[in-house]
Amino acid sequence: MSVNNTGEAFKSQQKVAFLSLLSELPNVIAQLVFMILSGSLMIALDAVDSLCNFIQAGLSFLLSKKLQGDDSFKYDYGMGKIEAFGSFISAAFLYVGVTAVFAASVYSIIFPSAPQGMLFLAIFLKIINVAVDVFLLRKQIKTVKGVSGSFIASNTVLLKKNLIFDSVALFVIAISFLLRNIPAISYFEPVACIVCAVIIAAQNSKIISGAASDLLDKTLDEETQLKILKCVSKIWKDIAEFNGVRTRRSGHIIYIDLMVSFEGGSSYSEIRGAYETFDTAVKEILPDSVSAIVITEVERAE
Amino acid sequence: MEIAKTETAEKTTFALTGRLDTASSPAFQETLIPAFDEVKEITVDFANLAYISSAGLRVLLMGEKTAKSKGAALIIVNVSAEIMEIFEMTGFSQILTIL
Repeated sequence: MSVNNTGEAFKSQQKVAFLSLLSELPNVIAQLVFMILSGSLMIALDAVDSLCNFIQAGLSFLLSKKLQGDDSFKYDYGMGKIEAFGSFISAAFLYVGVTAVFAASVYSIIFPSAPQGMLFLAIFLKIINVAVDVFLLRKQIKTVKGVSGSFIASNTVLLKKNLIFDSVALFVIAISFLLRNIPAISYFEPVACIVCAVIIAAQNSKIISGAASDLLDKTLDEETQLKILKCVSKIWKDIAEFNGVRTRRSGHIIYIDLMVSFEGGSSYSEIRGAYETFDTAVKEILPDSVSAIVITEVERAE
Repeated sequence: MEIAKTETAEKTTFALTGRLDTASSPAFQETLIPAFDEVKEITVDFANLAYISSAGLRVLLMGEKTAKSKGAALIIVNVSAEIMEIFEMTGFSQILTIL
């Protein structure tokens, strides 16, 4: 059963996104500068990743601002499409960047070169990155606890990935710097970079396929919609106000949200009972469905 | 779809012509629901209604609940056999007042 309680979470999400933007901007600039100065592939991969994070944080900030600013967007599948589009864009961008770094790593293995002297500055940068990642991830987990949404979920995954990736990058760069006098170390960073690139690409595929699935949502056919309305008739006496049904098909799953209100004195068990009756009726005709009752409050003009 | 409104002191009649579907349902909803603030009986004449979709049916369900909450009545008249079949199929022939 679903209750519309996402407003505060989107406000918190906006704060986290704003902090991410603030932290990512100098990070993106620093990564690009250090990438040029050090010639480090890990920093290049990180620069691509940071740029992608910056894009996603920017989209997250704009969307969460929009979501909390206008009540009509709080539970709207149209907004879900925009979220999915944002995730799809940033994931697609990450694919392009990771592919470029992967190619550069393969090139470095074929034509190896010794690590550059500016790597110690890259280590300093990575230590700061790891500290910021820990702070942001803790704040994100605390503020969006219990709230669903593809963009919020992908943002949390992104922050976790940042922490892991920055830690690995710090380790790889530090080893490359400390053992720079050993000739074979020139292969260490490109190989580590290829491994990281493959892992990032694999993780990214989940985000991009999820976003693509959401973008391909379809409206249900008329016959199915009428069948769903028949299920509404089974709980007609239990509901005080009927404010509509929202349906969509995502992949093979059909999502159904019944927007109703109940009498003021209705107990939780009565509301739960109505939901279970509706859900059972829906499942009989549409086994691959996920239904929810969204309790709405409608203010009418006196 | 066209909505023709006829008013008397006690009741309002909306005569629908054309198709009550996804495109026309929002306009009908905006006309029907606020009307319960003014009168206690609203009749919707389906004599010239060729088709009703699930979106149109949803507006009638909203109207029925609104009527009940305001102590008013929503009456649907001149329903064709095709539309009656939809009401029966969805189980709402037992809920809506159809004359």
